Amino acid sequence: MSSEVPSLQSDSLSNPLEHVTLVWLSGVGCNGCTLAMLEASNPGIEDLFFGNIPDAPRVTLIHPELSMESGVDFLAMLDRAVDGRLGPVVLVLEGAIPEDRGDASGAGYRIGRGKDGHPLSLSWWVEQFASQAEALIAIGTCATAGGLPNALGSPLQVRSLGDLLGPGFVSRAGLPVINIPGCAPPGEAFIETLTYLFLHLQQLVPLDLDDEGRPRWLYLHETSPLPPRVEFSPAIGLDLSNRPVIHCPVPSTGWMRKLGGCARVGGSCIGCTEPDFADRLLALARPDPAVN
Amino acid sequence: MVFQTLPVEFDGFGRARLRDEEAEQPYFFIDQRRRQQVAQFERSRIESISRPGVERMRVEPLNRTNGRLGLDLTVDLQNARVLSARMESVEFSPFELMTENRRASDAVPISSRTRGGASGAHAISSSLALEMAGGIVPPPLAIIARNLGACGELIADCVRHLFLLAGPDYAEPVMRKSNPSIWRRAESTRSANASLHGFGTIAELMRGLAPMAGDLSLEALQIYRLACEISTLVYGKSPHPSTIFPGGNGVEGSRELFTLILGRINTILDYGKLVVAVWDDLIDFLYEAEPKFERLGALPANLISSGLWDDPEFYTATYSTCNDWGARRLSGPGIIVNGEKRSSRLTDLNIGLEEFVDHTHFVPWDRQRFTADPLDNPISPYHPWNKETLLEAKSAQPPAADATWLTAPRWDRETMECGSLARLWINSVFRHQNCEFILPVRQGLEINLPKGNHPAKRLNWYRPDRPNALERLRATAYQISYAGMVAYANLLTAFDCLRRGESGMSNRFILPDRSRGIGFWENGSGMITHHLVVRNHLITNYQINGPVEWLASSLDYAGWPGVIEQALVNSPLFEETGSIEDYRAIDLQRVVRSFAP
Ligand code: SF4
Ligand code: SF4
Repeated sequence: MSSEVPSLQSDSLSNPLEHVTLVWLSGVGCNGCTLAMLEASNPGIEDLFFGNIPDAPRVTLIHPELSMESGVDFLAMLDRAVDGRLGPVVLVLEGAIPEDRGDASGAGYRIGRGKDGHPLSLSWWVEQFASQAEALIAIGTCATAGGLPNALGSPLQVRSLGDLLGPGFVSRAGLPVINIPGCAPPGEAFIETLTYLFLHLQQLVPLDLDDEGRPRWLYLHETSPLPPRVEFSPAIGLDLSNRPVIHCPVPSTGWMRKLGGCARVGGSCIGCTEPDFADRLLALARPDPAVN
Repeated sequence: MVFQTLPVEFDGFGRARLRDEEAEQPYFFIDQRRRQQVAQFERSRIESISRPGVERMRVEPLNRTNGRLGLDLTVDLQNARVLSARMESVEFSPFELMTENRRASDAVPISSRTRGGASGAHAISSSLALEMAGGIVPPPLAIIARNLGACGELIADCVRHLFLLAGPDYAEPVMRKSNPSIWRRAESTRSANASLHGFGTIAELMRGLAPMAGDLSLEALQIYRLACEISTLVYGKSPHPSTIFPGGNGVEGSRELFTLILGRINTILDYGKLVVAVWDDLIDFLYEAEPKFERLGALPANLISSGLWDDPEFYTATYSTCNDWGARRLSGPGIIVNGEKRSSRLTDLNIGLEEFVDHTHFVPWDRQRFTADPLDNPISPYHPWNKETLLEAKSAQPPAADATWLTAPRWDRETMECGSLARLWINSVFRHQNCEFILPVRQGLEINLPKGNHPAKRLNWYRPDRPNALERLRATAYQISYAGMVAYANLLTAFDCLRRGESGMSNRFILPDRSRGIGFWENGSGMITHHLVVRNHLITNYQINGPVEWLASSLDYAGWPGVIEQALVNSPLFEETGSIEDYRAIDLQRVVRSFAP
């Protein structure tokens, strides 16, 4: 994960893409999406670093939990990525974007400070990358829709990546914000989408996104919020026909390596891919709605 | 003596009471000893600050941690001293506020979002707090399943700590640059355990640590995933379990489930032998090459653990018997202050807790809802059952200049270290012996690993003189095998339950009108407590404290810094950097990451 990469003209996308810098930023959330991402294997993130996937470029990752660099060295890498000196960039955002109050306290989320010591907010960084990145990916419901930090009772004002960039936004490579919702979404869904994005950028296979910017083939799967299968559960004999329909790959693919999978193995489905799951759908997933 | 600073003593029956029952405000006192320490410390800092060679610097963002942290340092490079160190957190987690006034069981999925890497630990903690409030115990097999999920998550956490967060600080590229003379020596030093791990020299081993590139790192990634498979099997999804509830577990406790876990645990137990050999070799070499490593991040032993992994035979979910079931946990509870044992009772742990917000973006609360715990032991107005989370944004007062988002939890007004080192230490000195494969011995612990692809092995973990950065990492390596054997023991019990036909996985959970609860649990980096208060069947107050608060805490009411800040200020500086322009405080970054905050 060295920051030394061959310099590539960013507008050389008509040529095969050999190298991409993946810049990962995080906002209000829990870092769970990063951990989910690390769970994916065959391919895993390391296969992208080694350039092991046919037609996918070799990837360098700039990531707050995985990069060697901290402080000024890390900020310098971000600067170089923004300036295009690290070649084509794909931005990944995990977590929601808090309002920028312009001071050090505010909602608290800054990524380093400028030369004069003023805090550099997450939204400032995202805006820097908006015009530079070939594509922008929001991973997790916090980033795709504000998620839990936006739910009732939260004192924070947060925005999703799509909200910050506005409707109609298209990236340098002509793509809308790519949304991979779920709290967290499975890591396999992320790596798979990234791989297809690369095939798209290589002009081999177009990336198939639905109206909400989600990889269509993953979020075709329908399911419903469900209580867990506990002994006294209302799930037994529950009428599914009048439950809200939600979209999530997990019930059909499992959580990782075909294991787990929420309601599929007796857990609840809280509908965590939906924007307002914590306010609307959680109630339909309680183990015992009659009592608690 | 259990409490030295808090105004609490014990009667002949071991019941706690206030020393002076007449005192008006027994907890509002000024701790003169602490005030003096703080003043002395400030004086020496201010005296030296204008000296040549004194530099103020920030390491922000401080990456490869679990939190969103920054480090503000004043270092005297000429005399190789740290004059001051401040940890800053730029992160505010709204989730404890969001559980309030919701239906009780919603607290589990919401509070699990406090920290992805500890999501199972938070979900369990939340369930335990609700079980206590409701007096509901899950069936034995559900308790076992929960333990197993937690083993998977803890192992994943430790592996990540060793190979993705803290370990890379000792990888080749860093060593070459920060400690070239140690690196040269590593090139010609043979590793003692080469036959086990296959790295002939220490330099080769350091090459293996290069994150996501070296062999050790890539292998660790596979083990991380295997450990995540274990938690996924139990939790349905990891991070953020979908099967964990107060009163039980949604997953079916089938023979197949436990067999799938057993296969994965076997691999991890073999890995445990290797990972200990790697870190023993590396750490022993570093001490020899540079004795100052003994003092890097060193602190007096102020250690706390609530323990984790309940024994279904003893766990009753009630507060009145928590000292009994706590003592039977497969990693037992305990508190050590300045190397001295204070208590291993969960009630003492609980009533000694206080949380201060003086140097944070939160504002003080003004009422004391409870003066005692349910057993009539006195508790402080700063106790988490009394604490309220109030945001500064709603107050007129401007924030303190050094305000951060982390509160300052204290026990008997002491800062406490938690994590793998604290757990192993506490289990050895309190001689907890609840897992048949783990034995407390005079100098430490013996962990007996069965034969797998590698022959059976007895690991001997020795208690160090005092905690330091390298010993935290070593303990994390041993913790993997410890948790692995706990999983193995739980699997044996699970198969026995199934043989007896005890396959129930849940009991109906009902929350009374008024009640209180605590969930005590741990993740890799340390202790997690959830305190809740129930009124009208709803949660009216919910308080979460986790390792990042204990370790990277702000200054407390007396101006006393948190654990990591103390460790930084006491640290020697010995990296070999040419000039101040190149100085990146690698020594100090190593100290912070050793805690995996
Ligand atoms: S979407 Fe969920 S898992 Fe991802 S950061 Fe947000 S809270 Fe964490
Ligand atoms: S199945 Fe339901 S709870 Fe599980 S990840 Fe999908 S939407 Fe979330």
